[in-house]
Amino acid sequence: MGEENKIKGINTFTQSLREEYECGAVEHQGAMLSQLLLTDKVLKVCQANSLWPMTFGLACCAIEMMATGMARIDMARYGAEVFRPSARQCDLLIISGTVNKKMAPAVITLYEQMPSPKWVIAMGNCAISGGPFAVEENYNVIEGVDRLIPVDVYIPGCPPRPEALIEGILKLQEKITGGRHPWPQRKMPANPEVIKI
Amino acid sequence: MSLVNDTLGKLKAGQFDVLESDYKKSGYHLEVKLNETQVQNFARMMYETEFYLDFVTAVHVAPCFQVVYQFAHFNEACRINAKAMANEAREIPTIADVFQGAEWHERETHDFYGVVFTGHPDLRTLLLSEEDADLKPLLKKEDKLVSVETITRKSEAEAEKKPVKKNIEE
Repeated sequence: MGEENKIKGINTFTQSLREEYECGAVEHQGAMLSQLLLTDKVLKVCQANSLWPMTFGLACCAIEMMATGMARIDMARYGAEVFRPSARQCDLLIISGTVNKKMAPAVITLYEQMPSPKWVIAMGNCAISGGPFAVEENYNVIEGVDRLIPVDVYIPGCPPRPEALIEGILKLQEKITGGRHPWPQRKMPANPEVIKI
Repeated sequence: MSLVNDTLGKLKAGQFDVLESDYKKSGYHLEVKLNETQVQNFARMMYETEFYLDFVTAVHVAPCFQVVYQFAHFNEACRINAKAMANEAREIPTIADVFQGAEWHERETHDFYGVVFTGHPDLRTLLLSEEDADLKPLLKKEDKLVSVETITRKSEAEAEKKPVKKNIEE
């Protein structure tokens, strides 16, 4: 909530600046406005390309998360490889697995310990909705981590493949900056004939 | 098989209702039926003959709970399965004062079934959260509840009366 208010605050501030500029108010405010907008955009691109996830594995999805961090899949390509051992150094919480009733308070505490701006990815069916545990006899599994904390991106799968987690991170980058691949990506060669054998 | 025979002799001398069991079929060498008053003596004897406690659990059956203890030995293959019926107040004496490791097994069993182990030092919830202390999630529904006899393995003499399908080994 604090995060939303902050963004709302910045938006109203920039809007009031814009209005003053348009009705011919003090000139230097225009410079301030463009600077502020630029700073905001740069900040967002930086945030999107240096997501620091928490080292927090809950179940089998965590194995896929580890694979995503390793050399073969290598989520470092999108700047999200710096798994931090402390919630206070993270801005991305990947809920990778089943959250049960006894774990729930710890998950909430960890989320609250993260400094803003922060994002949450619910990875796998358990974190989304309880998955295979969403049955009548279930007595200790939280059916969806969004009952505890706000979730930004949902990645379905049981468990999702590493590619799916990468896609989830790309979606999150989209959400942060408003566009896919906020940082220029390496393209395939312009002339495909070159690599045709 | 000397340990199995030794223990069988000792248990018989100690007035326990003990039967030899086919390990390949049942997974244990000896089967002991206990009553409420024998539980502590039995545990003490297991401790003195250097058996270790494998697990404690319970089965929800028609009259009350059947509490299951399994013991095994480090030196030789000898598994002992002991079953005792809890009384109507769902109580059975604890063996945590003999095998300290039984403390958590009994707490877990109390969590899931509500069996009260009398004399247990600390029966707070172990695996369930504190607010679920009265949940008892592994209790059976009324229509699924069966009597002890239905789930008791029949002795060989009784089993032979019924036509049994030939094993693949034979």
